[in-house]
Amino acid sequence: MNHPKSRGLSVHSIVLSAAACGFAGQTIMDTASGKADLFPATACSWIDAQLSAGSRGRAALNQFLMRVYAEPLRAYVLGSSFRTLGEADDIINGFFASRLGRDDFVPAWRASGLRLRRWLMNAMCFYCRELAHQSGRRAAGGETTDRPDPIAPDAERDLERSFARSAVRAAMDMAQAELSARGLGQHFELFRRYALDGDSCQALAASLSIDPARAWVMIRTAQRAFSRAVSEVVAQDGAAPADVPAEITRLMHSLGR
Amino acid sequence: MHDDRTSLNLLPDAAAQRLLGLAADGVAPEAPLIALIERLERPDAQAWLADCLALEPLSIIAGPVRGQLADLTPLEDLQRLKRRSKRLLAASAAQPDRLRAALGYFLAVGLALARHGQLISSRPRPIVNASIVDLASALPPAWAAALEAAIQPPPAA
Repeated sequence: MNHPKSRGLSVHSIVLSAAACGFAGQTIMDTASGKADLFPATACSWIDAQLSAGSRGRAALNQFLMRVYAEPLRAYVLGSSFRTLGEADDIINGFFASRLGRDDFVPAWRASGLRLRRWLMNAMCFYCRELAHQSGRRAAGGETTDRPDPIAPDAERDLERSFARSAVRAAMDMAQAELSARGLGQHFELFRRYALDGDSCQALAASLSIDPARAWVMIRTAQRAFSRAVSEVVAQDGAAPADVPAEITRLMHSLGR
Repeated sequence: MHDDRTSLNLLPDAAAQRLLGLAADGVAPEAPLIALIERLERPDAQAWLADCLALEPLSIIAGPVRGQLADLTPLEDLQRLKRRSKRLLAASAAQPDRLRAALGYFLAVGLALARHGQLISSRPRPIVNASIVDLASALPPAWAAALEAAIQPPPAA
């Protein structure tokens, strides 16, 4: 079986697709009503736009789902007894191929009120049970319904940690795309070196022969773009606008366990 | 820029945790500043700034060319700008007034530090520093440059 389609995905292209539908660059805070809404308006309007935009919109949405959720679901499978069903990459690939073509798949998530990552985890459980049924039937001439014990204690924790990393990766790609489109690619590069590589503001300023104060402003500009992007990813996962800061803190803490 | 970089594809937990911490930090500056920064991020920000500078109380710091800051503004004028901006913020419920007042307040404090080395706000210096750098990062380059002398980057580890 081939490896997941998500392997070759570029979030840059996803962001551009999203931009065509009016999502990228919006801030979820703009539409915050202050009410405890299960479905953040901006995230849902973007998802609605993809669902009603024909094959192109569906492709953009599916790409985003695979880019952000393939690794968390892989971590979940590897942390559970489902890993005995086959190669994790093949399972994830089969799951997306099986589910993303269904018209009712994403609307069913919206009706559930769950965080998208939790809902996908549940959907993965069902999918793996289907796989177990099929392999059991094959082994016993079509009669047995052997099911694996689905969840090892650490599987859900692994999913949370992996989602946190995945959200950061997607948000970095989104921030880079947004800043590059505004002609601020160097701002992102400074932020990346400061935040990810641990370079000091002074060293970065010296490398560009600019004042440290200027470098710091550039870093903060990119930091805000990254912060907005993280908020968008978290809102798309189903966090209400008022819950976004707390959700980001929760994800941060999940990595420290 | 250089090749010895942490890969996003192999993102260590500690790096992801640090980035999420920076994201959380970027979400919550002071409330009036959030609205002001959002206004400054709109495509027509330059025109809006020019309009603000033509009106009270910001006309105190207007330069001879429309949309440009004066090169030098006496400290007393910046203190006056700060007071009037605070009064406008307290007196008006209209969002355009409140945004203009927030702009006047933060510019007065930032320019007083940048051009006169004087802290004219009762807020602690670290909070003022964070506000000025956030404001500067949302302003057009020429305006941001006027504040850079007031910005203190974090010390090297």
